[in-house]
Amino acid sequence: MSRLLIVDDEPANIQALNGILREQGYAISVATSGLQALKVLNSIRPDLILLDVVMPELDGFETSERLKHSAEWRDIPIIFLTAKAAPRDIVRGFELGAVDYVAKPFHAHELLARVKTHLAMDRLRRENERLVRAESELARHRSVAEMVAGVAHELNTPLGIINTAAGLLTKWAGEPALEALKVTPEGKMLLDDLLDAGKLITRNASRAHKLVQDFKKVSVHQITDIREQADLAEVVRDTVHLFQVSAPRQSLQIEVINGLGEQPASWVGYPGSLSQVLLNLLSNAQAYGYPDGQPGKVEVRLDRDGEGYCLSVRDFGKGISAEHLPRVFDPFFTTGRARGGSGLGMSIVHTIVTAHMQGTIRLQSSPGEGTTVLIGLPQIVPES
Amino acid sequence: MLDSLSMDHPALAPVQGLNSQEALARLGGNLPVYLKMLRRFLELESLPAQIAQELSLGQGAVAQRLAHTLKGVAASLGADSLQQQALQLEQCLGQGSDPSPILAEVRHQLTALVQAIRMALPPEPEANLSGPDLQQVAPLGGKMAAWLESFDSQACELLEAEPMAFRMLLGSHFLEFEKAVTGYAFDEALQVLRQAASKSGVPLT
Repeated sequence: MSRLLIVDDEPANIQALNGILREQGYAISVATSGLQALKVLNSIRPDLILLDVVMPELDGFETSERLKHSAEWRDIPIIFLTAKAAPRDIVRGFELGAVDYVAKPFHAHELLARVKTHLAMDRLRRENERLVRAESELARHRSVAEMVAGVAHELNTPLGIINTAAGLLTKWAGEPALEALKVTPEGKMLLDDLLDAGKLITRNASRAHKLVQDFKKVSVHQITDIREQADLAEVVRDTVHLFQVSAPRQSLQIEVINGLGEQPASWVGYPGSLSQVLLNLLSNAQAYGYPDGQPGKVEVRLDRDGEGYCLSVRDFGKGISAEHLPRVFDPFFTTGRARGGSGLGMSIVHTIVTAHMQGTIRLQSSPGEGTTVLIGLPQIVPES
Repeated sequence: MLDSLSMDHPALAPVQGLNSQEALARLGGNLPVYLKMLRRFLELESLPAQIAQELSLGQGAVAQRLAHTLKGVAASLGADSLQQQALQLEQCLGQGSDPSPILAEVRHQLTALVQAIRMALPPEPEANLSGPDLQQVAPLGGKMAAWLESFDSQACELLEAEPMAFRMLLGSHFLEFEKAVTGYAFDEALQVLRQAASKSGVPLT
């Protein structure tokens, strides 16, 4: 239930307001002066403030002005509540950031209606802000992903040519026409060096080619997968099984929990892509979840979530620091570059979940307690 | 003028000078809240004397604010005539003219109204008056401390429901504590509670 802060220097007024508001189930905190209100705000955060205007020391207008200057408090809606209801006072109240003004003596039903309306408006405002933030974060991620995929595409052709040319070099170095060179020690050494150089180029060109293929996957336009009806619980179970058999030396103890029980987990989506997501998350848990080589536990859980599903992968390992948390989905961000991590796995996961499967993904992590990746999936993924 | 509301609200006898019906309508018909407000109003009887004292000390602004308070409380209770007089007093103090005649009138009306309300009020609802033991008191003290810390108005409700427990816990500090809680001076009340608890060795958990 919402908490309101009543600021009034007259206990009788507080008593009246408190009686009316408590009856509606609101939690009430109280301050008897503007200065005390500032002190109270250090220990609680109300959802709305009912602020008297005429008070000694710091009056309601000055109190409001101070609150609006503080980044921490400026968003709390303020309703002025006072007998001082001349039009110029009302205007001043609004100029100082009040959302409303109620004249004393107040009418209970009117006051309650206004309080309720402003609480609802404030909830909507906060939800809207959250959506705008999430949308801009998504747009940022997509533009970086598109850039990476674009660069990868451009690199593909010259890499192919390098690969072909290196192959030719190696082939020519073995041609019988060059056998004659081997009769002198210098000639033989030169030829061997040429062969080695060719192999080196081929090996690295193919490594670069593989990386470029990965880079391309961070863009949704590169995902090719068939949309089909599947049992989500089955997809999850099979993928975990695949991970266990394909990485027999892995140290994770994986527990699959089906929160749906006997109910069918009917899903229309991209099972292939979902498997890739789950495999990436499991390899991540293995590579980064626990200190090197230590065995650990992972919980894969499937639940209903409104109209869709929630798939979570949780480890109980070292967690991610608050500083790294916002960057986990960025392409090329990795703490394991020394161990060969490219920093693309989570970025690909993000693209598949949000852009390809129209779902949501978020992370919860505290250092020392582990990490949970929460994926929300619609029951029917729209066709790309 | 005699306002009649005895038919609708048998718990409160009619009081001269009090438009209870209108005030109650504003409160959405919430009689318990209205009765609490009336009980608190009784404490304002000494306000004219306080105003006179502030004036004698040259504290005109403080006197004016006290008049403003009286006007506001009178308005919320439906004491229309007193509200008018208090408004005149507030304006008179603001203009700096001689407040004596109007102050006398306010004092007269307030005294009459307070007496009439005393007669009309139903007896206070019974609180838990059974003697508590120390075992019960400690958790209540902890609960009270937590609510006072977050300036939560449930502190008042708890004191109202368990006066005997807090009498026992607070001992000679009870009146001071009660005054602070009912006046919503919660930080002051918390200090008194902590002092009393440490004196009696009761942990506030």
